[in-house]
Amino acid sequence: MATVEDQAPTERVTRHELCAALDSLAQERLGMSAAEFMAALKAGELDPYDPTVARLAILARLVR
Amino acid sequence: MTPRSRVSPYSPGSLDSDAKAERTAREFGELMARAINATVSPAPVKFLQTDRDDFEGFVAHVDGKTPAPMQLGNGHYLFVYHRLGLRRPERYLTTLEYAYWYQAQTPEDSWIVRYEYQREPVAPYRYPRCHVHVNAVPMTYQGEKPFPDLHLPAGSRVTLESVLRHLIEEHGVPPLSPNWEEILSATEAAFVKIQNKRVLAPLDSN
Repeated sequence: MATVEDQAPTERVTRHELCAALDSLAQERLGMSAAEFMAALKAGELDPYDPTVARLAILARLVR
Repeated sequence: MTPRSRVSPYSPGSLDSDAKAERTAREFGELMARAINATVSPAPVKFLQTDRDDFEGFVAHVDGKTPAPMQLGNGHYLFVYHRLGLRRPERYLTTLEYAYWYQAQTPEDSWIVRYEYQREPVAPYRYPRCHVHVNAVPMTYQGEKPFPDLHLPAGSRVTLESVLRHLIEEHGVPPLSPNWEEILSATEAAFVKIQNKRVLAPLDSN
């Protein structure tokens, strides 16, 4: 039987990688950078109910 | 050494080292993967640890290293995201956030139903921390706020297993394993056991 000890190490992701992904997605979907997205989100300038904003906000909470 | 089953017994309690937290979070991810892969999707689901100083990570199906929706057997998609971290002086592994989105296609704006939970929402936040959004408008609804924006209360938690059962029983997603119900019951029991060990009432009861 396979064991937990047999398994590959936990995969890791850096906030830099997540920020790059957020930047790419925010540029593609909303025409803004990751920094601009996070600032606008914090300032309440984005519709939090917009599904794209809500999905990108998930990444933003990981990057913060 | 006694072999450890792939199906985690999952009773970690206090995690006094990051190594223990990492192993427990990985086992948590394996439980989620087992539930998903026995029911609605064979897509890989795993725990990814972020590089924060305080232990944190998430369980999801990923495209690259970012959460992505999985295709289901009925042609629709399920986005599953579950963020974990350590809380309380005892360092309990805690669900910080989850999002289970059932959507028609891969773009998020095709969402049909969204089950969401946030343990630590940014104030002011006047909604149930565990809630569901429905992308529809009842003909009888006359409220000012768009119906899909409403945070419909959903109790203390919506379990992943209940969503998976719902998809199979009512949305026509063909189950992948003949004993999927048994597997879901086992993983659900494991998660309930975890939650019962970590009830932080009343602060965690919303």
